[in-house]
Amino acid sequence: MSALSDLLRRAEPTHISGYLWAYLDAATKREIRRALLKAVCVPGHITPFASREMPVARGWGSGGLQITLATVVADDVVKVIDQGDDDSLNARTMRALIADCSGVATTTDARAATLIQTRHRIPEDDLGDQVVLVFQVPISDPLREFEQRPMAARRMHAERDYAAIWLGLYEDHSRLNRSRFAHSYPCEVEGGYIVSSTPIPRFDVPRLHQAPFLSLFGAGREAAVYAIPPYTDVVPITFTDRPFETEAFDGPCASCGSTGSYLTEAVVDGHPALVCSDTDRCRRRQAEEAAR
Amino acid sequence: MYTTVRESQGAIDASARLAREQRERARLAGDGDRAAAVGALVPLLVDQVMAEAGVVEPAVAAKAVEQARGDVSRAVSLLRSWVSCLPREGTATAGWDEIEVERRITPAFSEPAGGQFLGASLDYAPRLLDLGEPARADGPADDQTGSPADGADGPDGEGLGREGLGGMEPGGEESGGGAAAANGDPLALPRATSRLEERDLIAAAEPTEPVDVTRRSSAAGAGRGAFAQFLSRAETGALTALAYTAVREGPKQADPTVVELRAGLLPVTVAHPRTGGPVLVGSVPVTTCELVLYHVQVDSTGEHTDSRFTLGYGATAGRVERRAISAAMLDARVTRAAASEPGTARPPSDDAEWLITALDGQEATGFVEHLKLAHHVSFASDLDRVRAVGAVGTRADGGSDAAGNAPSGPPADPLTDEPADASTDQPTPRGE
Repeated sequence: MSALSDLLRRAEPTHISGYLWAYLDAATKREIRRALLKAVCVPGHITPFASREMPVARGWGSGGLQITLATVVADDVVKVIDQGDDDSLNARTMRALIADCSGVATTTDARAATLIQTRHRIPEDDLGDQVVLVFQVPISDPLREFEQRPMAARRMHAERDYAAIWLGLYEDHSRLNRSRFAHSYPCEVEGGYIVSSTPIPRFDVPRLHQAPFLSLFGAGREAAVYAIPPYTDVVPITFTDRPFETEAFDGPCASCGSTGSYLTEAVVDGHPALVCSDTDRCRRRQAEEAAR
Repeated sequence: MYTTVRESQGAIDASARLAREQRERARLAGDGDRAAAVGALVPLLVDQVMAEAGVVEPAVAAKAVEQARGDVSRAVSLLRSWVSCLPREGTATAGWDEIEVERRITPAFSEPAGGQFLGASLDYAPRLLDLGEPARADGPADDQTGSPADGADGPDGEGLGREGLGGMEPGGEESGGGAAAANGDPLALPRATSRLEERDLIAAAEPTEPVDVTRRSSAAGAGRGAFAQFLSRAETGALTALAYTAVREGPKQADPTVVELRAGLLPVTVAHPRTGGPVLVGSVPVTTCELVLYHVQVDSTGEHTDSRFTLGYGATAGRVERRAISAAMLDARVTRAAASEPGTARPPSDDAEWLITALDGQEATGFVEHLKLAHHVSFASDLDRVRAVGAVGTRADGGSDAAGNAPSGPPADPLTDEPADASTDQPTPRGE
């Protein structure tokens, strides 16, 4: 799409009466885009920005929403998931808000989306380079657990001083014989900064490595963004003799039979069972199975 | 004046009556408009919402209160997110001296230059719940709250103000000026603190430059001006609680005294975009406070002592006065801590970074309430680790203790042994 036609489409009246196209004013969008450009240029760097108050509460995805609304263009196709599910309440609310104030098309099919705002998951489908992933981030700094003073943590990042994380990892392995990190596993980006793989499970972490898509992370409450550009090394930190472990599941998805997907608890036919957390792909697989 | 008429009770009763009458007048003005009625019925609630939002627009704030069904946090959220959409057209600075004073008290000095003015306040009225008939809408507030001393004032509110409050007129709306105007010269009310400054009893503090924290990532590290704005928008309860912990520490550490509390309308003047000339764009209701901490500073050598007061300054939009007092308290504590020996252990009330992470109501309530959202993906990840780490414990125990079925035995596998109904605790609404 040309820049001109994009601008013309943006001049259309907003779908929420009294608000601008994509909610944010132009100056705010520009500011957030600048922060994002910096974040992309310095992969993994926690980049501060003047987080705005959004019509969702702080801590409910206001950072991801600001990124989405600052980057969305008129011909985007938007998918929003929470826990991998397009139909969870939070995802529905967020998707309706994005669509209402911008008029963009929405989808539940990750393969058709050009912009995916997500909380806690990466869709199971193979994603190409046409899509941008926007992650909602609760706690942006992997050092937070070890250093509560933000200014001190900032200095540690600047000096690549991650001894505290490594020491914590060492203590885990010596006491527990494994890492205690569950989700938000700390990852080294392109040999530089260590980032929090914000609460996506470890299962999804390998998919960030050399991913064809751009990943943008927004923490509204903490007023920070960071990014992982396409085709970037993302390495979960671990000792050379201690392999990184992803979540393990007993058996396949009870609904679609998938063995290679992240499973969460659900009730199938009245019994507790493990099913895919990516509900759209799971449904698609079931439909394909039924058609066969 | 407060100190001279206290004996007769006249000023105190008049102050409370003025507050009630203002409310009644506003209520009558707001008849038929729900938001205006909200603003009239609970003006201090609207003030609190405006202050915490950092947005002074009473009509919109009243709408926010109504639409949030009285939830302050949500109303603040509505207001702040509304303002997020508005471009910032300019800035203005205004000074303490420019406030059109409606209320001025100086707890540190009984007779400050310029006098004290109670203004409209319920501070001094007894907190007796009135279970009687609500006031009728077809007349002015009745005299049931007035004391016999008020009889001479007549039904006219303005006469009451003059008589009872030593020259002060009630509010700025009709008269266009408060106590300062009545005195003919705003400079007739110098800061009470200047008495202490003239005698070099106030320790030098970091100079304050105005900073807009809403256009920064964080107030942390941005100086005292940013901290002051942050405090002016802080959540009222948290702000009060932290200031309270600072007082609780006891007089041996730092005894706070409010030198002056001043409330009124602050005219806001901006430069005209074309001519550059000053243009009055409105007045903002503000409450400001200056307080001093008494403490004796001794350095590690024990030689250099500094016994001067530490000055704290707090300001807030609106008339919720504990906000300004609490902000002044925390400003003073942080200033004092900055002047103390490095490495000294600091309680939360003295640590600007700590306060900045804790006191923004939107950040706090947003994050606490987000715990209501579904977390089953990250929780499954937790469960995976619980299982794995539990398995390690079992192996270690198994070597030394054969009692595998003891209470300290292997935990049940939470992914498979949970009863069926437990897994439906947090159902995710599915599509049609």
